[in-house]
Amino acid sequence: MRVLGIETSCDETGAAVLSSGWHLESSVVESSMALHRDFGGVVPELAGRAHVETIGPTVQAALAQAGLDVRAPRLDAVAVTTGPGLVGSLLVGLAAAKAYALAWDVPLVAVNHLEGHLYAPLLESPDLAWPLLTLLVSGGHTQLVLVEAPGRFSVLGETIDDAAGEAYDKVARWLGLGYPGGPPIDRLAEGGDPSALALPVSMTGEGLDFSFSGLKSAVVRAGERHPVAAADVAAAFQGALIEQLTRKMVQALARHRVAGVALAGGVAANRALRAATAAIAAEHGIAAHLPSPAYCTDNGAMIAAAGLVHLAAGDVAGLDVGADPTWALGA
Amino acid sequence: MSTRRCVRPADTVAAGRALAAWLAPGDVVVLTGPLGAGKTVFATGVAAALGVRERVTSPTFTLVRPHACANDRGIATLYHADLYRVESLDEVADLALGELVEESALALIEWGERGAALWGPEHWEVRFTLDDDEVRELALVAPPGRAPVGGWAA
Repeated sequence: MRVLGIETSCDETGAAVLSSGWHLESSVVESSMALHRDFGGVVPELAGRAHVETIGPTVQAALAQAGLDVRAPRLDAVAVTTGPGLVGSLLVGLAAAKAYALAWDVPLVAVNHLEGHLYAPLLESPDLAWPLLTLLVSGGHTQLVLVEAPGRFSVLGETIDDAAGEAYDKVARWLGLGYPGGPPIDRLAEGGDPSALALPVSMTGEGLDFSFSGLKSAVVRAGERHPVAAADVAAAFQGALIEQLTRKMVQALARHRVAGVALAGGVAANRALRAATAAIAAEHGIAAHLPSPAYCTDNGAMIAAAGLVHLAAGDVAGLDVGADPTWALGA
Repeated sequence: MSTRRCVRPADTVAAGRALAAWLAPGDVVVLTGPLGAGKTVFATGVAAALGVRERVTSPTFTLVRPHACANDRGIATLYHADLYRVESLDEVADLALGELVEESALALIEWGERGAALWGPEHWEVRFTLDDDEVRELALVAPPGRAPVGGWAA
């Protein structure tokens, strides 16, 4: 089976072709990130308009790179993200996917964007062993998910306030750094002293939910009371944030037997988080799946992977399917 | 203007619940104050009182998040918005927040002072201030003629 995956939930336009066995034939991503940088984040209206311009060329490039006839590609389905995300952005990808499905007379598969992230490790390790404990961390989401196998997963914990990536963006903005906030804080933190700033340890109980709002407030408050070098703020903030993420991962590993841990989402590109996750996996004697940055961030390949899973289960959508901007994982 | 003192997060949630009792479909509530003052915590109280079942988290990333409500007051949707990342009035106008607030909806707008000229005199405002001991004071400014009888002191 061969599936075209289309992703337009936020600021990346992604298209990819994937065939059975998680064999990736092509993956093309166009980002409107530069457009949003001046605004300190994604602007929904601008993102929607950018997708309208990039969706056609991105899909054509993905088909061409896979060696398929752009007019009549040999495909078994078109998979598309229908939520969660920005409604204006989702609708562009969905409208395009419906048109392709109709024109090529193949089924349409509706994919949850977050479920797509769970399959990113398959793109580089097709033979990986399940189950996996996956930490999904991005600007809009922070979740700890137990993935038994493709198509079978449960959310163990999630943020009760700000997403981890959002905390990065807010602290970065407060420090006068650029958007997105993760990379500059990661770099700045390397030369900083995390002990220069005493920050609270959050969510100390047995539960697996996360909270980053208090950490963000504590950073700002402490910095307002007495001047702290930006590098020290970055080091202390990143240290506290990763401490919470990894502590919950370890707590989850004590309760669930898995063959590996995995990272997914934009924050999964963070070097300190990757190093900490690899160390946890080594301590537990299990595999660490740290996807390349291209597969951590939004892409069409992971949507195609989810498309293969659902197509195999006969779970296809009608051409009347709508976008669901708040579609929760597992709902 | 009436005020409430909030020592713990639960007090801020209770303040949100108390305000919700006075709100009607079509209302715009603007929340102002520094980073970490408790605006999102306050929003969880308003949402709970309006019958929002899902978890209410920060809407900063997507700017606006709709929540379905279950209540007998004609408020079917709560739009929870956050203008933290927005810098100019033009950008706020682009978001068309005013158009979101229909007859059956209500808007709660964090960092709403960034769109001040767009709300008109009919909106509610909650001003958050924070002292050195992390105690929050919430000052309520009601639209003309709609000040809660007896204030909203706890």
